[in-house]
Parts: sequence; structure tokens; C-alpha cells
Amino acid sequence: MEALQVINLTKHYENVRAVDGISFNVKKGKICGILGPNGSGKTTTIKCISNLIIPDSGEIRVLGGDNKKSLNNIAAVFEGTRNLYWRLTPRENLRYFAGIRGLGGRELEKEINILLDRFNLTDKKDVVVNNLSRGMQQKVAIAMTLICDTEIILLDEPTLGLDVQSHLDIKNILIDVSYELDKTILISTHDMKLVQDICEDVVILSNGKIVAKDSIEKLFDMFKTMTYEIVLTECLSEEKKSSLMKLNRAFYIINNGSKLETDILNEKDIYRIVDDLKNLDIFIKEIKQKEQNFERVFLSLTAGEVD
Amino acid sequence: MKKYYYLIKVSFERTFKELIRYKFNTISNIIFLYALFMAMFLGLKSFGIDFGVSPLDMGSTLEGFIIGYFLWAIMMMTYSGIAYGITNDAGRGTLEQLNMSGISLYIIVTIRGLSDLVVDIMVSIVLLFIIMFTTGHYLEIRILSILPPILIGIVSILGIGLICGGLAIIFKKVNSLLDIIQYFLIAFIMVSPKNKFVYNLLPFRPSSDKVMQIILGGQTLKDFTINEYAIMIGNSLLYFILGIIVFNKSVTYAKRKGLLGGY
Repeated sequence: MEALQVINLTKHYENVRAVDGISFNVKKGKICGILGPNGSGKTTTIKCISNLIIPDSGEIRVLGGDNKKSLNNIAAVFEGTRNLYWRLTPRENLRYFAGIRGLGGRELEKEINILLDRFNLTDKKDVVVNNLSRGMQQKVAIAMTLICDTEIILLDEPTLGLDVQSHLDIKNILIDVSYELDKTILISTHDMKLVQDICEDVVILSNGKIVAKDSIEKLFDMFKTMTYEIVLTECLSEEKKSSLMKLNRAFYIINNGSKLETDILNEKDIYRIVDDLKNLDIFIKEIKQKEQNFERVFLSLTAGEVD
Repeated sequence: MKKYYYLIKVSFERTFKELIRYKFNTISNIIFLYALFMAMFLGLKSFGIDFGVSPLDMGSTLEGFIIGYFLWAIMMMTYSGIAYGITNDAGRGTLEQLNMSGISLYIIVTIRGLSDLVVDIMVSIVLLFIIMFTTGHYLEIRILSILPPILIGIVSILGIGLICGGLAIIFKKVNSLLDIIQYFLIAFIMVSPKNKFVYNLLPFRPSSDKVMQIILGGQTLKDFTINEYAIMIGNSLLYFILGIIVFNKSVTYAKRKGLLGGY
């Protein structure tokens, strides 16, 4: 069942076409990522779905109904540390945002306790949000979407500016929320790793248009390459770097020339690469095959527009 | 109806909690209003009579001045509270959250305005007692008698607040406009146009007059005619409905231009 349907959505700002006739669906209980370079239309799309921006044309359906009449089924956390009242505690924020949706009572208080526990915020429940870490603030914001008990959760850059541990915590929370609570989650992000790790489907935007929409698996298949990391015995000189660039093959020079990365379609190509490097007097210390990287898929699709 | 009950409940909770947690702001507001009153009071006392331009003879009209100031303080806090509330919410990103609640934004903003109003009235009463203590002029204040006309009249100021709030959603910084309006509000309380129609059309004016008549003229709520109540209510509804229309149009415009979350 489709929880969210975006049909031919278009939005202009003055002469800029922010979103250009995009259509995609998100199935109930799935996590879908929206990726794209800055200015590709990700946030505009999320805000149109949330009814914060009125599109020029197109339709947005939430559980089959018009999104403007289904706001009780949409909750969102927007980019940055905003979204919350900083002089209220996590408990007070959850109570307030539930209250403005007309929710309250004893059941809600129990629900707040469960959520604070689930997000490991119980010992911080009475600390004003202003005094919490960035990661904890983001947890409170996500908890706020859950207390509203909506079908769809929209997240704009949920991991932006988080440290490693908070990033991991948010990732695990989102997986839990999707699987255990059967929520449909749409994430707009630059975080390829997050998309690769938790999203089942992905929509890639570029210049307001969809350049790809499919499952992560299928996109990997479509751009099936093997990435090899080649560790060199010494850093490449400028002369060797320019010789390397003259070869008819794309190398990514890493660590100031102590490592190379290259994508190949055929396993036998690695032998040719070894020969090419040997001919240039570039000596190899180690060769490792790397895990498939969604960033490469993204760069191929957006033709390096990322800024 | 239950959903509105929860909305009102959390709005009041938030207002009171923020009042305490932003205590510097709360205290400085009271000090500002007190200092402004004393400056006006002492100015009029020192120079007004000498120059023969002051209506104050430091007798019965001083009470009028105090009550006028008290009403102006409530009005100013009410309309600017809505506009500043929206500006702050836009800055904090919470305006987007309010707009996604499924309850119309103007209802949320109005209920929040009402909860702020209760606090404002309490602050104003404290201020009134400080002023009376300082000036040595004690008024017989029948709170229960003056509250109904204040509460009816303040609805017109909520309407003006919604108009300012709507403009704040679009333009974000409306401080100059708010400053200008506060001077107009002084005029609305002080001037008495001869033309009855214009007089009844000024926001809050019919209600502020009744408050004056209760405190200074010793009248009671029973002394007012149905017609006078109808004018008070009609005046308030006119501005409130106008406020809702302008606010909703502004929200729609902001959504079309993508301005709702900006700050």
C-alpha cells in the first residue's frame, strides 16, 4: 500500500524552477531517502508534502487522501537544531506539540514516558532543551514526531552536524521506528551512508528533476562496479600523478597520493591496472576490494553536481 | 472540543513556564513599563501645568491617566505579543511545527495570544499597584467589574495582533510597525472624536471608555445599555474578523512564496 504519493509536483520561485514535475511513491512502513545536491529541490519537496509550501501544480496524497486534509498523518523535523522550544524540557516539548494537535490526557503522559525511555532521555526529561547536546536535541525532535502518532514522518537532514555516536543512535532509532512502529519515513539528506544503511528506496533529484528512483539494491545493480583501493609504497610525485591522469582510466587519488581508488566492471581489469602502474614505476604495497559505495552511484547519477 | 481543551491547556502551560524561564525578559518588561510611566508622570507634573498644556491637574484626571496607561500597557503587550511570538517561532523553526498541527494557525496563535493576555493582565495589575504606590493615588479598583469590558475590548486588539502577526510571517521584522501602532493606541484611548460613528469604530475605544466610567465614574456593569454592549462586542468582532482574514491571507501568501519557515 502506498502511504505517500507525489504526483507531477512542480514549484517555481520567481524564475527558478525548484521542483519540476516530480512523481514518486513511498510504501507504508518503508524508509525512503531523497538525495540530491544543494538546490536540487529536496527541502521544497518535503515542505510541499508538509503543506508548508503551496506547489504550483501537482498532487500529494497521504494514505490516498489530499495532504492538506491529512496533516494529522504527517509529522516533520526540519534541518538544524530548531523545531523545539529551547526553554522547555523534553517532556514539556512533547506535551506541547501533542497538545497543539489536540492530544493529551493520562495515556499521552504514559506514551511520553515510553518515548523518553526508548530514546534514552529519561534522565534528561526535566533538563531544558537548551542545555542538551545537539544529538539529544535531535532525539527529542524525532520523539516529537512520534508522540504525534502520525503515519508519515518527514526528516530533513536528520544527521547533519551530529558526532559519530549520535549519528549511530539516530540511525538505530530510525530503523527501530520503521520496523517496530511500522512508520513510513521520508528522509531528505546529503548523508549517503545513512541512505545506504537504512533506506530501502531512494529518489535522487538534480535541478528539480528526478534522475533516479528505485530500491538501493537495484541502483547498485544498475551501476555495478567494483571499487578497488590500491595502497602504494610511496606517495605519488606530481609527475607521476600527471602520467596517471593520462591513462584511459579514472583514478581517485587519496591521502596526497599514497592511495588510489578505481572502479572496474570486470575483475580481469585489475591485472591491467597493475601492469599500467608498473609501467609508470608506481609500486603497489596492497590491493583491497572495497564495499560498494552509494556515493559513487550518486555521483554517477548527478554527474558530479555535488557542491 | 477536547482537542481545543488540550490546545488551551498546553498554551497556558508554555506561557507560564516561559514567563518564569525567561525571567530577565519578564522583569525588564515590567521595569520598562514602570519607567515609561514614571517618565510621563513626572514630565507632566513638572512641565505640563507650567506650560498650561497639560490636561492634568494632578487631581481626578490623574486617575484617568493611570487607568489609560494601564489599558495601553495591556493593549500593547497583547498585539505585540502575537507579532513577536510569530517572529520568534519563525526564528526557532517552531512556526512550521505549529502550521503542521492540523489546527488552523490563526486558532493556535489566538489561543496563545489569550494565554499571553492572562499573563499580561496579571503583570499589568502588578504594575498598576506599583504605580499607585509610587504616585500615592490609590484607585478603588473593582477588578470583577472592569474585567468584562477589558476582555470584550481586547478581542479587537487580538485582531490587530493577528494583522501584525500576518505581516510578521511575510516580512519577519515588523518592529517599526509595532512601534508606530503603539502610538496610535495611545491616541485611541485619549482622543474623543465628536463623530459617534468614528468613535465607535476606533479599536478598543468603546470598551476603554466603559472601564474609565467604572473606575472614575463609579458606574457598574448594570448601568450600561444593551446597545452599549452591542457596540463593544461589534467593535471587537470587526477587528478580530479583519485580523483573521488578513492573517490567513498572509499565511497563504507566505506558503506560495516559501516564506513560512524563513527568518
